[in-house]
Amino acid sequence: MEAYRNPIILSAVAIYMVLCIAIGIWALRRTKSSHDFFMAGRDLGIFVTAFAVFSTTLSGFGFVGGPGLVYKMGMSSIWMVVIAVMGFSVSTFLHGKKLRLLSELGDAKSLPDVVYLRYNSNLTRALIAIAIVLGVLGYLATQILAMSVVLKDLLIETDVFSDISLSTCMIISCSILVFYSVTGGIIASVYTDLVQGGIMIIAAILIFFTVVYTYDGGFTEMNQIIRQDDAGAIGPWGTMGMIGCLSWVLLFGLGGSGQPHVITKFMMNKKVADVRSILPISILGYVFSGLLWISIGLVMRALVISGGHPELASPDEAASQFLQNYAHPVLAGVVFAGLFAAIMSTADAFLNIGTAAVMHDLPKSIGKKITNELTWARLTTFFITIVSAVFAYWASQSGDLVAILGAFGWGTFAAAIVPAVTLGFNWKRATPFAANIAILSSLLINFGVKLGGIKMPYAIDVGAFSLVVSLIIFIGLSLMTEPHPLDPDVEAVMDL
Amino acid sequence: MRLSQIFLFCLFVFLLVILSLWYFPIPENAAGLAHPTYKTMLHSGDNVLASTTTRILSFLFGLGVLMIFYFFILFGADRKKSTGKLRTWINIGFIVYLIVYGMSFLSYLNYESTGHDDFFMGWPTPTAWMIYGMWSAPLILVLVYVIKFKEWILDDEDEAEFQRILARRKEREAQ
Repeated sequence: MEAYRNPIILSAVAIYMVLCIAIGIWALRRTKSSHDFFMAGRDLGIFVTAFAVFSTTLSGFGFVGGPGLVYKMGMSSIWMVVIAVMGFSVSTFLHGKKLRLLSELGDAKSLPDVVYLRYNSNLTRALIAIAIVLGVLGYLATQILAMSVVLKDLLIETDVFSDISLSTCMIISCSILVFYSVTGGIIASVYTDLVQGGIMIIAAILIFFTVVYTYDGGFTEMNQIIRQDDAGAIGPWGTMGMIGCLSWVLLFGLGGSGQPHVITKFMMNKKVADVRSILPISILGYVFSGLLWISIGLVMRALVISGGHPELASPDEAASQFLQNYAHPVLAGVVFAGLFAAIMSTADAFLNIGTAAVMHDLPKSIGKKITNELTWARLTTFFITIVSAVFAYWASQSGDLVAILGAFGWGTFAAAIVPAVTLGFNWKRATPFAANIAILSSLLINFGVKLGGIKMPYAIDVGAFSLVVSLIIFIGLSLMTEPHPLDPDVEAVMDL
Repeated sequence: MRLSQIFLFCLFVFLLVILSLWYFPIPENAAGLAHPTYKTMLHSGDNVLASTTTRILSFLFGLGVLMIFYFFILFGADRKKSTGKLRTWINIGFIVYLIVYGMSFLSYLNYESTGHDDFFMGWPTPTAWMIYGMWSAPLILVLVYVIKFKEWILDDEDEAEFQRILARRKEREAQ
């Protein structure tokens, strides 16, 4: 079977690509209005929503970036997984009820719609939409780039495509993504999340046991090898140190409740009470998938240190090297298919919220309404994909703006959205003026610190810092300014 | 004092902790350095907890992060009806979380001073606190949410009230 390793992996990926096209066609039939396109008709069941929440959170990063970070920094990035139980709890306590009820009350098609309902301010709606577009462009470009790089790595091993270029892989990736997203909208995304989530859970458990049996002494032996090389790396804070790790705890624990592609899923479930089941299922899914992240990163670090494997050319190769050299070919094929599923569904989720921001929220914030929204939604999806692909190509050549946007996407969303949305939907005293200033300050700090080359002490994540500052501005200004009258229905819902 | 005012005060204190990290001397390579042998790996740097000042500030930084989670959960649990029992369980959940965080911190100080050879279930003891303790401690909050949802989060009366609000709104919009 080893002789057929690469054909097996490529077949699994090809089957997945066909499945994507099939899901796109199936979702096309179910998408009859812009409400279906953006909100899946607010008709999702418990498992579909729960799997969409956890697998959208994890995205392709859980397969590639996560293991790479563990290989590079030891235990530091594992805090992003460890904090998941608290992070999902915060998200659900704050969004599970209020966001879902408010979105139904306002018949919302997007997060900025609910923001408008809560604050009765078109400026706040526009600023949230702008923050979303900025984050989406960077995130989407990195997803397209990641998909193209992995596709190239796989195809280059074959005789037929041995000299395939990255730009050709980008064209193939974007073509499938455009077809899938334009036809299926968010319905295609959430049902791919269901497939992806299932693949990830099963694959992560199998990978975990493969890793355990790589060394006779299992995790203890592996961790001892890492400890002998660098005791700090296998300590609780890894190589980054305590304060840097704790800034990630804040950013990934609380910041998760400010990721629009994730929290909009809380607007799509059929029944409000379903959220009580969605919480434990999404936590379990994330925890199991986290096994893949932790185990691959650690085993590759131990293998390289002990001389069992040559040093990797890049930390991001940790997962692909492990799968190609140590995992059963069928398992490797399934995980690679899962990786494409992760990238594709997350890219679709980003496209969806980006499209809503561009063709629905921004025009509405200046008093314009687009007629024939579904057609325009599809055209805008196509347009954003092309712009992001150009960004991605530019990043592959220069690695500048997109890298900045991509790396700061999570922090940008967190600092801009957590105060105004996560807290603002649960605190009646919050005012639109405070929300606007908090959003603007978060964007200024995030980009200012990066572009100004300001170095944070102890590797504190700039997103965590700007989140704290924007929270202080938001609460402080809200308390200092006159209370803003709430729509009586909104107030009544916030009292529930 | 209202919840929002207490939270704002705590956030200010937390910001002071962050700013003071800039003020005090930062140990060299506090956030790691290039691995001497493998260029794609990092190696841990000087232990920042060796200095009393940074040890205290690091501990306070962690407390600040947990405090923010605590206040957010309280805001999320807030409703017009009484939230007394839910708050009690949230308090219990966070006391457990604080204890686990404290044990993880103490265990790390011990790990650094005793030669890094104390293992528990496959991991160095402080890492085991992180993996098994910090990961699972918030499950108290999850269990409360799942089990008591219909009593303390959204009861049948609330759902009926929401339907009435929705119907009223649709009626108004139709006029």
